[in-house]
Amino acid sequence: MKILVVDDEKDVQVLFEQRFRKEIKNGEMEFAFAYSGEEALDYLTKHLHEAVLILSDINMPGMTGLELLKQIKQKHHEPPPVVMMITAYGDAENYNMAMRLGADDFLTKPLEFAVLKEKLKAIH
Amino acid sequence: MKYILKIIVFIWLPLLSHTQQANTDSLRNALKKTADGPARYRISRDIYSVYEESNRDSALYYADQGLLIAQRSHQKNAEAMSLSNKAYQLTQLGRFADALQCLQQAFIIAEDPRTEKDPYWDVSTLGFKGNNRLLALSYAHHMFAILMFRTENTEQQIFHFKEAGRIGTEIGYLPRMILANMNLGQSYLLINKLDSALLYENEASRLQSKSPFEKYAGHIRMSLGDIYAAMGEQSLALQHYYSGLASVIKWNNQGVRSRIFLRLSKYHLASGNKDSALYYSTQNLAAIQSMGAVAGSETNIGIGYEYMYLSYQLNQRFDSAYKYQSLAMTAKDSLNKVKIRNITDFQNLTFREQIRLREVEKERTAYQNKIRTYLLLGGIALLLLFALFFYRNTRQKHKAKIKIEKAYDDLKATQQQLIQSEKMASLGELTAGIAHEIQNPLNFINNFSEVNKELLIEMNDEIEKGNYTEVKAIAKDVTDNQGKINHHGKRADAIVKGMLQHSRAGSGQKEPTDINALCDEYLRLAYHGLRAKDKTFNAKIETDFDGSIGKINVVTQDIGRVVLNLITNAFYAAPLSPKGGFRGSDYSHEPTVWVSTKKEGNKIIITVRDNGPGIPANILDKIFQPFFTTKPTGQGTGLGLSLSYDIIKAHGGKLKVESKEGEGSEFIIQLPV
Repeated sequence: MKILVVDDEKDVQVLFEQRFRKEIKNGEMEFAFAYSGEEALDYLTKHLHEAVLILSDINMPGMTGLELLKQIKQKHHEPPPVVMMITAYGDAENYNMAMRLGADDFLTKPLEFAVLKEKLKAIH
Repeated sequence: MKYILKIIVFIWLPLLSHTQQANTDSLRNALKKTADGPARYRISRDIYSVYEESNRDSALYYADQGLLIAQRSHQKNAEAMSLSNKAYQLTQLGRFADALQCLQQAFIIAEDPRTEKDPYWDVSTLGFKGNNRLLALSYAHHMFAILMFRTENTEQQIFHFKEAGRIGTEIGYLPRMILANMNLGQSYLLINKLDSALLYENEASRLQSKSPFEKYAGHIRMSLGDIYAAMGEQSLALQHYYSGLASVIKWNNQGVRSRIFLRLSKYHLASGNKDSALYYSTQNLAAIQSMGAVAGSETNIGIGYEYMYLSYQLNQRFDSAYKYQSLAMTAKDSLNKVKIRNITDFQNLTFREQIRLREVEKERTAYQNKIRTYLLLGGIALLLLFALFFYRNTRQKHKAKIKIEKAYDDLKATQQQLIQSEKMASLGELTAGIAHEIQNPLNFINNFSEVNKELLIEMNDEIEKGNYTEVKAIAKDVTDNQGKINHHGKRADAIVKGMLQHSRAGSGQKEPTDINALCDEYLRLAYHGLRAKDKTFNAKIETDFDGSIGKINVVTQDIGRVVLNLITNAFYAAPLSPKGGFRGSDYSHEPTVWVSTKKEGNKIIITVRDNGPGIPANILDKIFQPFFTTKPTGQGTGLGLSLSYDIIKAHGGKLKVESKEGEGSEFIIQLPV
């Protein structure tokens, strides 16, 4: 299962690689990283249908996570990838907006990786 | 010569008397036919004038007629004039007490300025058009002086003649001036001041020669004759007596006529001229008889008989001498009685008058005291009222002042609260932003520490397996992660500190600050701070400080923070390539930062400019919002400009930005002096 993580915080890559090092090691999961919405769209265009799951931050310079979500859900269909929003903005407005734009889940920072793992396994 | 003169006089006298008689009759008829008013008063005045010095009883009667006309017509000037005329006749008749009463009334009227409001009546002898009240006052003084003369009060006599003359001169009425001088001459003769007497009498004579008023010309001659006689100039005296005699006969002045006859008979008696002495004594007696007996006067019936007796004695006609001697004795006796009674009456009256005046004065004083007391009480009441008013006013002002001060204090406190709550509000609105800023570092701190725990467990397993290559790899990861935990911990700390700074209530005191020195200091601090962090950093610095600024009152640390913030921003932006965004800067341009100060009117302008990429128009209005930043995540808190904006606003100034994409940005601080 290929997962695209979108976040402007670069340390996110190290964090995910270490958190999922077992899953990565045994080939269960594969991660790609993008540091902005634009980069993520670029990646998705270049690697069509590769990523089945997208984990995206919302508050990013340039294109926001919500904008990215809107683009993915409109353009990348058949089957549209699962998009989970991970954000420090845990407020109702962001949550409602994300859900309306078709987000499949909504997680808040600081991230509980145990919970995230459960959710990923359920999709798997 | 003397003889011829006498003949002329004798022929002339009956003729004159006859004409005057006819004149008086026609006037008397006119008086009967005329109704009350100025014309009727004038007629009575003219008849009085005829009798004034020729018949005392008739004169008194017509003075009374004039008085009645004036009183019925409510003509005060005329009333005062008639009262004085009446007083004059009463004085000459020796009725001093009655005369005094008339004159008192005359003075009351003539001294009251309201009398001047009367419509004009011709009240004078010659027709006077000036101030009738002052004329009446002068007249009253004159008659009062004559009364004083007759009651032998020389001091008062001279004083009132002078008053009469002074007022007469003031209103420019010649008859009054003539008579005052004439009588003053006589008065000074009375006290034997011959030089003064002659001076006044000559002045009277001089004025008389300019005036048609000749009624008393004879009197003036007589007085001059008296003065020369007193000087021992007998022939000059006689000359004046004879010249006076001609005038008094012409004007039918019987009083003066008798007095001149008396002087001539005295002279001839002393000279032993038997015929002349008898002649003048006879003439004297005839004149006195035609006038009516006058008690206390120089010429009275007693005197008339006495000189007859003396003249017959000189002529050695003893029968007649005896007859006149006994007549003289009886007349003198009764006249003396009358004179004594009149003087006593007068003195009683003046004594009563003095008591009355004292009573009036007492009453007046009591009244004045009463009035004064009332006024004083009124004044005190008024003062109290004022005091009360001012006290109330002051109290109200004081109250108002306290209220205003309290309102001002409240306002200041509210303002402070408002500034604070504005900060808190903007903070509250951005809890989400704060959450994001804090949650992101926390995310790393929590997860890396958990990962490290797992890694250390794994490392333990590998140590037991003896797989040291793997142990080393894990140890490196743990070390890296610890570094990340530390980094994000510090990041959170910085955010919290900035937040506190933002919300802190301003407590710094304003102090005179050298703005140029402050800008220079922070410019160097920022530059070297950046150089220390980044060895590759470089930027050109241009300054333009206005030396005329001097020191201005600001919170030094706060303004320093603003300047530092703007300069740091400028140093951050300047090296960035003008085109192509924040990344991929190729340093093809020369990064430059300009800092300048300037005084404009009552404002200080501080400008910080860079030649970086500029601020995109779509975010230009957001840069002063808290937590807004264009720097990559982790490099800025987004509070710098927001804080700067608040600080400048709190100083009553403005913080503005001007920017063009690709050309750079300019931040302008405006501070009031």
